[in-house]
Amino acid sequence: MKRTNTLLLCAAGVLTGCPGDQTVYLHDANNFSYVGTIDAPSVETASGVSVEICWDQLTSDIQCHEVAPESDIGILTLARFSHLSEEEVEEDISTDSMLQSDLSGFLEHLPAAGETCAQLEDFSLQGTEVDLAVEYTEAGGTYLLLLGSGTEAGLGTRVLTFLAPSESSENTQVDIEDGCGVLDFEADLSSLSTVSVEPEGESWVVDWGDLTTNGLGNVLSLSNIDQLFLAHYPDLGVADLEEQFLDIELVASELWRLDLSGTFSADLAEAQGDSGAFGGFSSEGSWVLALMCTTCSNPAPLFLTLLDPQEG
Amino acid sequence: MKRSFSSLLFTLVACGGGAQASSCGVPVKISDVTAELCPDISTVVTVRWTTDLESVGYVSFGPGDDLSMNTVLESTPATEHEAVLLGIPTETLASYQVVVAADDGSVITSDVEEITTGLPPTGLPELTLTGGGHDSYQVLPVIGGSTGPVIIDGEGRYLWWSFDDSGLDVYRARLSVDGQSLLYNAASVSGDPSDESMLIRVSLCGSEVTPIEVPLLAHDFVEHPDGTLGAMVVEYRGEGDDEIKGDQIIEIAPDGTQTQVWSAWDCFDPEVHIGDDQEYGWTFANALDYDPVEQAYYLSLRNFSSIVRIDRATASCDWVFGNVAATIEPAAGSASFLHEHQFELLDGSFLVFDNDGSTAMESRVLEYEFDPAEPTAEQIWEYVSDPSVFSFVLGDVHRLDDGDTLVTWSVNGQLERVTPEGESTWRLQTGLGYAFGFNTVLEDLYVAR
Repeated sequence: MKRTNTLLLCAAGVLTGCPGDQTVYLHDANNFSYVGTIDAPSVETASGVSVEICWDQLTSDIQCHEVAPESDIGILTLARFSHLSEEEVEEDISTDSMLQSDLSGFLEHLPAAGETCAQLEDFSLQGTEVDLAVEYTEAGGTYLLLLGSGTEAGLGTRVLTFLAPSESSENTQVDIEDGCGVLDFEADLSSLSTVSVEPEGESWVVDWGDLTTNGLGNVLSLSNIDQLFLAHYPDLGVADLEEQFLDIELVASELWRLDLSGTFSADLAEAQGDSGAFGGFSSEGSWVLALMCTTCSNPAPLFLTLLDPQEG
Repeated sequence: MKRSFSSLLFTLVACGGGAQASSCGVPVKISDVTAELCPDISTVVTVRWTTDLESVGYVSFGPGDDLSMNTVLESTPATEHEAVLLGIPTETLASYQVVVAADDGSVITSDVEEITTGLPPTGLPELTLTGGGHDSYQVLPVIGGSTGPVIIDGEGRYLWWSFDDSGLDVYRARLSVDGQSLLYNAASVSGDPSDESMLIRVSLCGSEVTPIEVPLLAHDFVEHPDGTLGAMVVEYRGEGDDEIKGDQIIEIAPDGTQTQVWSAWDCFDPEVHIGDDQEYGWTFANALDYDPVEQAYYLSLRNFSSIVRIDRATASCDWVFGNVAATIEPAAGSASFLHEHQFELLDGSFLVFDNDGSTAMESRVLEYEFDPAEPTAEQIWEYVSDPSVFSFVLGDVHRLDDGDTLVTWSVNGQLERVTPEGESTWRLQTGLGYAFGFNTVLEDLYVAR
């Protein structure tokens, strides 16, 4: 079906770079795989009262990137899970299997510019204050505090910490620890089948309509793909990319991006980088093509592969 | 499908005079049948055809070779025709066939043609389906990273969507009674209501978006059979520290005229009828239903934990069921509801989505045997999801024809079909980050609503 769509479009002359030209079809065997496990710290606090949360000592996020506490944290979200333990929350985050129904409430707070501490009593439910004596209790379940960039709850998470309200605790101070070490991430780019591409040309159409699983092995929802990036690493091999995977966008010598909507194929020639539109592959180093979901809570690519420029 | 085919035939053969006369006694020929996907919604198909004589017709269609779905029969005879096919999932090969009246009272049909619907857009939440046996349609908003009204079938597939870019939240969506568009509200109920709120009409093809400005909209609205809209709107009285935030019902006539038909002050006195959470408003209306036969509104008042029946013509309150200002209270031994949202008055019973009434941190559905004439309200049923969920706002409940109940656990992004025995047979859940608004449940997308 998906292939038929593309062929029909090709036959109609809607798409350039159709079979016989330079269309590249992506398959599950081309996809990378990864395992990411979360081991977040847990801070016991007093139950049913406000606590002060400070992140002024924060220097790194869960991807071990540097954090500027005063400018990099745009939103604090406290999520409550009534039926999940801390271990189960970590497992569901790691396997990207959390459902909205697992969540039994959340509060958020947008710190003012330069602010590095916040009171839990200043958190609200989309502008509505809550009674912490009722909503933040030992019996209430598991509470996960996420500090993120941007202002969208659950997106752009930089660090995360469990808060554990306890009747036996009088602690009302939470100092957020560095995120580096919380996430153990291992990417496997060695096992994938590389994708051959023509080094030169005017268009490079890639078609991902046959993909069924993401890098975690979960069902891949094609409609979630809203961006692709193409990256070049002249001096890095596969092992280097695996080692530096959390920085895979940062360590590229050049990166081309293309926003996507309602399509299962795209022409790499339309992707834009700092030097303009993508114009062809060189033979040195490594080339990576990734399909992303920028609105998903998991920032990992849904699909990522290595491209192998070869003369046809 | 659900629509009676015999009634279609009956209508088609009734070519007794007026504008239809020209087609009677003469065979009608169908030609130039075309179909195209709507550019903005790739599941919606526009079918056009020509007849050599003025006639009325419709289109039978469905996934695969199924032709069991029917568009509404045209009301005006013409030679140039158009019908919009709604109800086909994404990436689906569908069949369609034009049906028009023949001169001898039978119907004539075009060849069966095929079309494949397109891809879904990015930004719709992933849905996880558990169980089956649910064939109703859900017309409801998704609220989250992207927000807007959608239509979902019983297999958890998106049939229609629109993304709202107002920056407001969307709480209710309804197919219009004329079947030509979808209506939804864009409003804000967290904190102060929005001066920019509006009701929005989107054509089925998605290309025409018509806002109707209604400042201070609250959660819910209804549409009358004649197209008049009834909406909950916040009403302020007093000034400064004495300002009171109450509610009113506004009607928007098809010509755009807006009229207040009821105010909370018509039935209640802020000095006498005092609910809880007054810092967020006095009455805090949060759900609205309308009975077109009895011309009565039913309005849930969150801070009263009460549901009131309002006579549309007189603005009087016939009864109040619940807590504050109640004329009917739950019977002794029956559970009470607290901060309820949507509800459904049935023949002899009353379903209520109870957000906060349980002593546990969970929401529930309560059903009462209900007779306002007695008046009695004895609890006869309760349902709590397993695992339990807590929807601190919104939430909806609907009794299906076979006695099952469809529960919308809004905040939890969970729709659930439950048998009278409390068995969960069908469940549709969003991934993390997406909630549902109120749910308008339809058995057929083409039956007049």
